[in-house]
Amino acid sequence: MIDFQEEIKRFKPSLDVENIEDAIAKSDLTDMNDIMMQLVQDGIASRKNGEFL
Amino acid sequence: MDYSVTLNRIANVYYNLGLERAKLKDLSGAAELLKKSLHFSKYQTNARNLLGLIYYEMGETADALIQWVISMNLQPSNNRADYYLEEVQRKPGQLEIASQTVKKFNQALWQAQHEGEDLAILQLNRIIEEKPNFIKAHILLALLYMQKGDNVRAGRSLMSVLKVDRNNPKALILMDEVKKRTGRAEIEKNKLKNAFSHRQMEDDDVILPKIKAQATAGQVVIYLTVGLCLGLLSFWFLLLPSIRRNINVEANDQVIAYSQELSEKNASLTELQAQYDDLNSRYEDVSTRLNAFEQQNADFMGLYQKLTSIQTNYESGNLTQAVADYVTIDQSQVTEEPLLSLMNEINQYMQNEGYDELTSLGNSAWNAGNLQQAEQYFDMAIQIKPDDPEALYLKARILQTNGQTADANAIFDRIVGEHPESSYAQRAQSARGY
Repeated sequence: MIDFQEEIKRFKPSLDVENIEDAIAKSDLTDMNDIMMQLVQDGIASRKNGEFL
Repeated sequence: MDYSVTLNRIANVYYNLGLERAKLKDLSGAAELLKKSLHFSKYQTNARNLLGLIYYEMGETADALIQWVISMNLQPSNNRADYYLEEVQRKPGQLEIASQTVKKFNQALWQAQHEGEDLAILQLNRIIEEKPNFIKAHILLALLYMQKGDNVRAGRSLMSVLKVDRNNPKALILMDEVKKRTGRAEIEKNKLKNAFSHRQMEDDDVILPKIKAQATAGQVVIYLTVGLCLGLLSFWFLLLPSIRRNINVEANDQVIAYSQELSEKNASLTELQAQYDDLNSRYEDVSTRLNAFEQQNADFMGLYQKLTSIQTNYESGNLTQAVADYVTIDQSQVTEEPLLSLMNEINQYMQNEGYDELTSLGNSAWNAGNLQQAEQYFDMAIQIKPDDPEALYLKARILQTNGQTADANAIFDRIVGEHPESSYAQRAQSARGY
């Protein structure tokens, strides 16, 4: 059974065209490549600090 | 690095899957796959551009613009997103309209979430009228209709969603609910059951042919009569006005043509009448002049003949006829040459030789005792020279001899009165008896 009130509450306001600059600025463009790079860099840093030694 | 290549491949795979879904109008499914593609590689420009297109198709203009702007930032050259952005911004006011639509939707959503469902429905109806492919507005409207129990309108709204986005999850769930409520689900279930179930015909099954009822004679007559009436009515109300109109139009055209022709003929007739009057006037003028000329010519010829006749008679010795013709001539009419010179010539010998000849002939006749002949000669001489006292005296003497004393005395008195110096005056007095 659908709870209409609950369904309606789940709706979020649409993005206004005037606010796209903020939306673009706040966009998270991180992809898997960035994550992998971060992981690699973190691994190198840890190795330098002797954590894996 | 190897994992980078792998990630790009995965992103490509998701993009291809998303593209397939998009081609099948499964926009929601395509959007999810394209987002996954971008999670693996944010530089998958095609996936981002297609995601923007899908947002735009679903009525989310702002989300579409975000994807295309990011796409342009990540790949500034040779990017289709440039064309999309230009197309959206090319029409003046389009972005303003999109912004207004979003504001109205947000307002309707707020009303829906704060117990203003009726106002929200009105507002959403206006929005989808302006933007029929605004998926989110349709779904919210369907929810509100369903909440009010208006499942038919909710179904229509959901159908609009599914036309744009064939597998929209929310729309599908709500449509199932609508179908359950309206009993449509059961009907479709039975239809599916019938469509995919079949039974082999058995020997006992009998196919009954459809029997067509035969019409009776009375029914045939009625059908024919009704058909005839309908045909006549159709002719009377449908064809006849058109025929009449055509006939009237043709008749009017003919009347106009005849009127124009008549006007032209009238103008031509007036012109011909004027020409006729002019020619007639000229004819009458010429005719008058011709008659005058002919008359003048006839007078000339008559006078000429008479003068030549006088001359001929005189030369041939027929003096009596010559003088008789001579005295009848009105000499004032003789004004033209050669008649004038001929007249002068005749005058010359009539006044001289003619006159002398007549008085001589008169005297001879008198001496011969022929008084009547003598009087005729003297009369002729008087006609040539009316004032000559000699002829007058001789005439008076003849009268006196004939006993016509009064007439003779009158002439004697005239001679005495008009020619007192003449020798005949004294002789007249003597003869008168003074």
